[in-house]
Amino acid sequence: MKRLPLEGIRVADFTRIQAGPQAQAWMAHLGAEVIRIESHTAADTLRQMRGAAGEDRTLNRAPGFYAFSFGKKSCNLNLRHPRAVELAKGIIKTCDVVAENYAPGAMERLGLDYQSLRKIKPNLIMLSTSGLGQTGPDAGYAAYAATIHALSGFSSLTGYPGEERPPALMAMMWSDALTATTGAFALLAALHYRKRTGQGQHIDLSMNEATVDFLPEPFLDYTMNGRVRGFVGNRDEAAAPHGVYRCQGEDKWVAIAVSDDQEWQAFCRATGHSEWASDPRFADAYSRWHHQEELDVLVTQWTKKHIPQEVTEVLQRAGVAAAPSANIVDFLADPQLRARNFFMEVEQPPIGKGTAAVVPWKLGPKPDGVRKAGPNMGEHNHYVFHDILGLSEEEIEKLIKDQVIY
Amino acid sequence: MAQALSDLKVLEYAQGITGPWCGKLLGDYGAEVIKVEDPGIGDKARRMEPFAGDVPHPERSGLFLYLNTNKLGVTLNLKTATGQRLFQELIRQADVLIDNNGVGAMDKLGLGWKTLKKVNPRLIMATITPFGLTGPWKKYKGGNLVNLHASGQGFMTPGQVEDPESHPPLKTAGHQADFMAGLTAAICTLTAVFASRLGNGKGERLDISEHEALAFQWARDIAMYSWDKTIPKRTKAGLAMTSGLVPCKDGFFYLHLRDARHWDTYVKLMGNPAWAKEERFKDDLSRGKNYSELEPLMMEWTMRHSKDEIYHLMQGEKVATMPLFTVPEVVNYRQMEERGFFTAIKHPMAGVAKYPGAPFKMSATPWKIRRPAPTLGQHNQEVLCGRLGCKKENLPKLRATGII
Repeated sequence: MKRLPLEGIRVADFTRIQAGPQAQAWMAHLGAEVIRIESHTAADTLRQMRGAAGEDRTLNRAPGFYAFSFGKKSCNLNLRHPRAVELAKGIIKTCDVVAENYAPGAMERLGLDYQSLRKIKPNLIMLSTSGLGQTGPDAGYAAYAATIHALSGFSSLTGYPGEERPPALMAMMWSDALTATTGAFALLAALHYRKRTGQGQHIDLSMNEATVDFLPEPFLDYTMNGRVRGFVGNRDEAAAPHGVYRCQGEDKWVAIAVSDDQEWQAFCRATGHSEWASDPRFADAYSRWHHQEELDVLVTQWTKKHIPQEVTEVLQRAGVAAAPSANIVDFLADPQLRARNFFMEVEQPPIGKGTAAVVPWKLGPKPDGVRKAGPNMGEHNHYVFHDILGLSEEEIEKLIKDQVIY
Repeated sequence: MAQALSDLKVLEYAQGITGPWCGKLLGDYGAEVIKVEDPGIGDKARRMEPFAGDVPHPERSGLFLYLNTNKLGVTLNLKTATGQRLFQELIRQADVLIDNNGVGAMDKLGLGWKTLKKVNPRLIMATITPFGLTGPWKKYKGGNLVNLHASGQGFMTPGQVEDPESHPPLKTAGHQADFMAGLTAAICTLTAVFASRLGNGKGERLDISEHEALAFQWARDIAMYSWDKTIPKRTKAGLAMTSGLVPCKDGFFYLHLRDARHWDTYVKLMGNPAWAKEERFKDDLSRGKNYSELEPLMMEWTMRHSKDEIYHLMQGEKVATMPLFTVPEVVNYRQMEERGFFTAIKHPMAGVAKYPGAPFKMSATPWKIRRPAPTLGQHNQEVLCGRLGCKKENLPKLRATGII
């Protein structure tokens, strides 16, 4: 098998939930050896979620946990124990990267902060992910994706026109996702520099800041023009029709975006409504934008008679952008993702076969996909403490009994 | 101070958001990015809102100015033989080409992967398209709205709606889909550079699908559905939890309660009202189910306090609750100020404004704005004469013949 890009890179992964682990999912996928350092004293929330067989104490049955842990390893360390911290340092000495997303200050209290660790591993790269960053008056504040959506201004801008309250929840945990992906980029930039110069460094990644960076338009509208924007729903700043329209079927919808006059003409032909094409209210982009409410009513009259897939095919054939607004069931049947092998069947012990999403990596002919199942809790204790750190079986047994390896 | 990617030379022939965001990420961390635009009209983001001072002008689009910091700007008409020759000269000197012109667009210009890899066998060509270069949807049009909904994010955005009929699947603010595609392209590009320099130094074509970049963000729900048949719902009935936006004196705050301790802390801060002990609010599940009765009771206290007060009170007790900030409140938030996040950038045509800053801080190789976004063709002389050895006296002729 061809060498993977990050083969030979080892990561000590102290992260939990999504913003940390999803970044390390990239690292594992790109060939790094990612060792999750976990403890029964504070198991990952995702491990604790109800699994296939209902309530479960083994922490090994929650599929949501594995989604970001395929190909990783897991060892147990109870960091409340000083001996466990010593062992963690032993592991880190053999690593290239340390990743953590504890509240700022927690690693320092354990003696595992960057300044301490660089003394034992001078070219270490360390990624610290947190809600508000490692410095500043509110650095220690606890955060989750949903609270960062509120704090970053993202919620104040996401909603239906005319309503006052944004949706209570954005189910996608988007800030976690974009922060994790930003973290993967940060690590690759640091690895690139280290390869060139031999120098490691500390990366301070704030969910709040990464989220604002994905949303420059309203911030610049404020800093340049003093304007505070409201909710625009699915609308565009200049193009219409541009929205999500009701289709045939229970809670079925299609997204349609007409970007110029040529596409509008094509849209009218494809839907069999040439009378719309000659309607002066819709004659050009400017007129359509100003009459978009009336336009949306007409478009819905047509879409309601069809399922989302039909609308998509008819419009895309005419050169107009459209796609079903997918729910999870539609999504797993998505012909484009299927054709490009985005999904993979994975045998995940102990919960059996299921479908995994693949990191979006199609770098030429290299091996893609999930290469290994995710780790059970502490599955690689022997590998880490015996093979890497050289402890004897008796020592390991004693450490387990003393709840150091726990 | 050194920058992480200062040895990388990137050529960007891309417009809008996806490709330019990829180029900006590389450029802001040190890469030299030469941006090629079509003469006369340039990048379509130059025509996108907001415009500085509300004056629509190709050099005043805030979105364009944000996405193109640190880049050198040249114009080249790639439909002309001379324009193509100059482009190939630039390719010879580049490590990376970023392209988001659509499936087959570069081939049509005679500048497809097969041609360019002969010009520079080390080239890494990152092509970003809505659905990828292969598959039944490869010719489908996409864009932020369509990609966002196709990937499931739209359907899952309005969590807890009362009436799904009047509340369609919703686009999140801005152009989240496009930004995710650009960031994913930046990861793939750096990976390919890393692999190439470790290995045989051969170039690569990167096929980056916006659809897949977004789809991966749904990995957890995919796994939960596949193994557990959990179907996430977007209606209020589908969720039973207390966490959510709660009205207060000056807006809303996001109440995030993960366990019994959080609820107890919150109840204590509210002065231990008697209703909190009632059976119908005994645990998270019951509180979620009876939320419509709970909210007005909580508001007796919350409406007497500002979101900032509640924020610092709750965080003081280690409960992850945060205010719903508007954009001005974010810009003026003490934490952002202290960290110097918003960065003042001066542009010759658009003036000075504060821009969102570093997505992460690197201790040894910091993010840096070395120059503002280029005006259209601003660096034609510097690049064409300085890098490609064109004679300065030929520039007017290149301009007059519509090449630059």
